[in-house]
Amino acid sequence: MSDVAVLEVEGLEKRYKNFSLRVSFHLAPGEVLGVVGPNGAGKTTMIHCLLRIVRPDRGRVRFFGLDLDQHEVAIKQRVGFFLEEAPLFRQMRASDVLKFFASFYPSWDWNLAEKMLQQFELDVTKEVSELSKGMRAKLGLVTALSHQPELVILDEPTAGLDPGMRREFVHLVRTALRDFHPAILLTSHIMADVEDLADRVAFLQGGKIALLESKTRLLQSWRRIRTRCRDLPWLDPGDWVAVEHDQANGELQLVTNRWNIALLDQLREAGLKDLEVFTLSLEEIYSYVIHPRGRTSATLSNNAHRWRGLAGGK
Amino acid sequence: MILDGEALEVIIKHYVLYDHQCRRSILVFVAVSGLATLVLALLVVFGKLPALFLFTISTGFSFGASFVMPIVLAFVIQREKSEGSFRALRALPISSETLFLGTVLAGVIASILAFLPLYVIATIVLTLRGGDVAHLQIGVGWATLLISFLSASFTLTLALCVNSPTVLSYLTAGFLALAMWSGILVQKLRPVLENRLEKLFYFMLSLEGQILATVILIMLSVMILYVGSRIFSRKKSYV
Repeated sequence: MSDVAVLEVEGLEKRYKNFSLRVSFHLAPGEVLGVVGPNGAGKTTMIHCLLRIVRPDRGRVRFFGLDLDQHEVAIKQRVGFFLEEAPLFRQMRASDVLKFFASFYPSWDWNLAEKMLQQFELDVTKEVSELSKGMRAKLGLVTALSHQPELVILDEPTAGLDPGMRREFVHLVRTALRDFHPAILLTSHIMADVEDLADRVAFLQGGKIALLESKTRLLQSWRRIRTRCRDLPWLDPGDWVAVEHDQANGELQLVTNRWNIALLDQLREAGLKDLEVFTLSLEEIYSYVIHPRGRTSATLSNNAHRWRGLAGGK
Repeated sequence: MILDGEALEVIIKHYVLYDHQCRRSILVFVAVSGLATLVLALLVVFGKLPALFLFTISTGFSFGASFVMPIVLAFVIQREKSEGSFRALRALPISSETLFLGTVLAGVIASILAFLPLYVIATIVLTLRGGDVAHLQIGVGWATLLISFLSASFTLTLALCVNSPTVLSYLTAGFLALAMWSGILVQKLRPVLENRLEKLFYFMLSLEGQILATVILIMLSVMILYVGSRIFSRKKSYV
């Protein structure tokens, strides 16, 4: 596999009246990068900038080492895309849509397309407007993958799909990964899709990347520790993302993004006992990163005097 | 400018052959105008109507096709923008210049397809009848081609470069107003400029006049295309 990054984004900026996007990241060959964020975070704007549906105000984008502005057509022939809600020419028959797409990709594989159509049980004689949302999404996926692209861009591919369809979709993407190892840039507000597929995860909020990390490392470095205590002991604030102390029943929950076993020793030295350690799901990690005030300020406000007093009293 | 011949062909087919709205409009126009022309042609053949009448009606239909078809295609473009499928077009491996020119050419070809059957019918009958109108009919065909090119360039440049759907309504209203006011203006100017208008008319029918008109129309169309293509390829947003 080539060492050249499949996608390099440097200082990509797009400004609107009440919103501005500014991101930088890269994608290695065969890697799956999942970009998660709430509605309005800038995921679709970012995808539109990469596909030149929208022109960015600043920044540099290189695909396969080639500048996008100078090699747009050659680059796009190696890229498959699935746009949010799969907007595919509603007045055309599905078969005509496929023929239309095939015309632009020299590497289009009709055998692969037929195989996917059979798997999906898609009636290609119907007009796109007659297909259900799920079927349109499947058609969109066929158009995105049939030319065995080196990079696949999927923008909210499972939005609005029922759980069964979502599982099928994820399964097909996994099959593509196994068969021709594309790199994948996947944006979603559904954490489960990202958790299933991504090697690295980026949390996008307010047009900026709040966190970009390997999924494995994230899952390894975040932990929740639960114990009981009447009085909150002194804790190094640098080690903890969130501290939640229920003074009524004495339950204390500590969340860290720098997990190592030595933290347990520190807690025991601080007088805490019966420590239970829990792993966090990506969804929980996401909520701590995207809504840190929502998680900690409430707890801190309940215990603010204690927290500040203890920290100051070190 | 980066142009891809194969991609141009695909874009043209996409609109003219595969898009239902465009295809249906062409077929309806062909059916209505073709039938009307055929009936008039038969009446002319059997001597019930003068050849000039057939010539006038078929010329009206021909020029009508050159204005109407680009407007139909412009509405198709706006529909694609509003339903989101234009995003898919822009994301495909097509240069913006190819997409722009392919769309304009689709408009020209749609006009040609719409007026060709009625033109053929009228030309055959008028040629068999002979006379001055037969010569004029050839000029009408060429003029229709040029007007189609100009009309498609202007209308589709607007449709591609402007994202607002109301611009087409204004454009349609503008064309209708132009046609109406042209007729009124000619009527008002006729008594004053009758000699000059007559001289202009005969000049336009001469070879020099046709060459001059061809050059002007082609240059105007190419200028609109060039400017339109630059604007389109530099658009900040295609949705």
